[in-house]
Amino acid sequence: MSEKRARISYILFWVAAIVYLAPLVVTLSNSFMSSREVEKNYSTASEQYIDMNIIPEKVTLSQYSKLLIDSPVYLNMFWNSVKLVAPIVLGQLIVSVLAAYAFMVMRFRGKEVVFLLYIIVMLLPLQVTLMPNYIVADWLNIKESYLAIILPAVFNPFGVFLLRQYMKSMPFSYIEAAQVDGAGHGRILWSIILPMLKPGLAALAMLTLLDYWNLVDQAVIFIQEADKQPLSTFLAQINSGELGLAFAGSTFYAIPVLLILFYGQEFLKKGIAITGMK
Amino acid sequence: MSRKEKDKEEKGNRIFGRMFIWFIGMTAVLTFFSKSLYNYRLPVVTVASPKQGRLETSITGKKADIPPENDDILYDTLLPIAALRQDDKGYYVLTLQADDGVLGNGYKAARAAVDLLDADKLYCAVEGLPEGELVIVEATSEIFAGDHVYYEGGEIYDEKEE
Repeated sequence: MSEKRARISYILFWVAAIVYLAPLVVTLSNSFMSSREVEKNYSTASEQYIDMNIIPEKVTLSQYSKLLIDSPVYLNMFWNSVKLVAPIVLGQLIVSVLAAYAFMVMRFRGKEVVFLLYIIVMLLPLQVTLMPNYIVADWLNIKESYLAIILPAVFNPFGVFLLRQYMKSMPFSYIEAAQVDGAGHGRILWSIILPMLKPGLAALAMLTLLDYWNLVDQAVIFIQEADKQPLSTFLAQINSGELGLAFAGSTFYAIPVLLILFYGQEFLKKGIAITGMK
Repeated sequence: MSRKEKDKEEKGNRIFGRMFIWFIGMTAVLTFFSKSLYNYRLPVVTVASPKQGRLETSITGKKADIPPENDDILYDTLLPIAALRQDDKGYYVLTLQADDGVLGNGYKAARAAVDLLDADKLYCAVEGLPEGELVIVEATSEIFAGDHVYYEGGEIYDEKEE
């Protein structure tokens, strides 16, 4: 009976995997089609349903050439995304480590209340905090710059929560021993906590990268200049006559994130698993 | 999982890390050369600025369909005959317009309707062209209004004797 159940589960997992991967495969294969073929496949002028092909009739790199060479706007947007995401990831790692250490090791009045506030803010949807962020950005006069997106992202409470949970899995005896030996908080953090925190930091970096590589709401609201828009807003600018560019653009857009995820998948699994243990 | 399997998995993961660095590197190189690559594919244009002058008497040019009536008239706007174009809306020229896009300073061809007053074998007299415009005389490939073009600088217009 259990073998039968295992077989059924196996089949169900395969079906789920195919359903999940199908859009990615279609996007990838359509990116190698010429614009005429894409128009032919997705034209609904005469019929109600489209006739979608997975395998291109003729494999061509014309869409990629159009995207990367004929339209250098795309590359500009790619680097805008990098300029946004890199400081966010770096800033969040630094701030989250320090805050998580404070919540974990230090004793101060109201610690639990403050952490509860962190969790409440973390649970609020983005759209709820967008207006207050806009008002504060206006006060600080940073509304039209990347700082309006970077600063709220750097102080996102999710990183603090993740690293605090990760630190809870560490043996506290190391810290106590260091304190007995006279080590200060800086020494404890640098020499004891950080080396053991690497998987957690890698997991946080990857999750932050994923989250902010795809940001659209903040970019649309805070950045008005077309030259400064990140890549996540590119698809919104494609019109219906350039579907081939949309496929090529999406593929190119997904590549760096996929590579990072495949590289750090072990850290991600470890980091998320351990945060759930305590 | 055995140590061997773990090492194999780590090696596999490291390949993705190298691929990521290669990807970023190639994108950086492509971005660095994007302006050159983009300009390389653009048609190169030769331009002239309108000058004052008189026309010569003989006319064999195919573009102008009226013979010069009076070669003593000093026209305000003389252009090379190659710059004059015609479509169903009438005569027009393509002017060089600055287009500051993502790559910095670039140029576009813009349509400017003109009235043809007179012409000779080499030049034509027009009116209706805004002052200070550079007119596209020829290009390395066919261009239309709105196309991006590459302008190297300089003009080909010969000085006309007044």
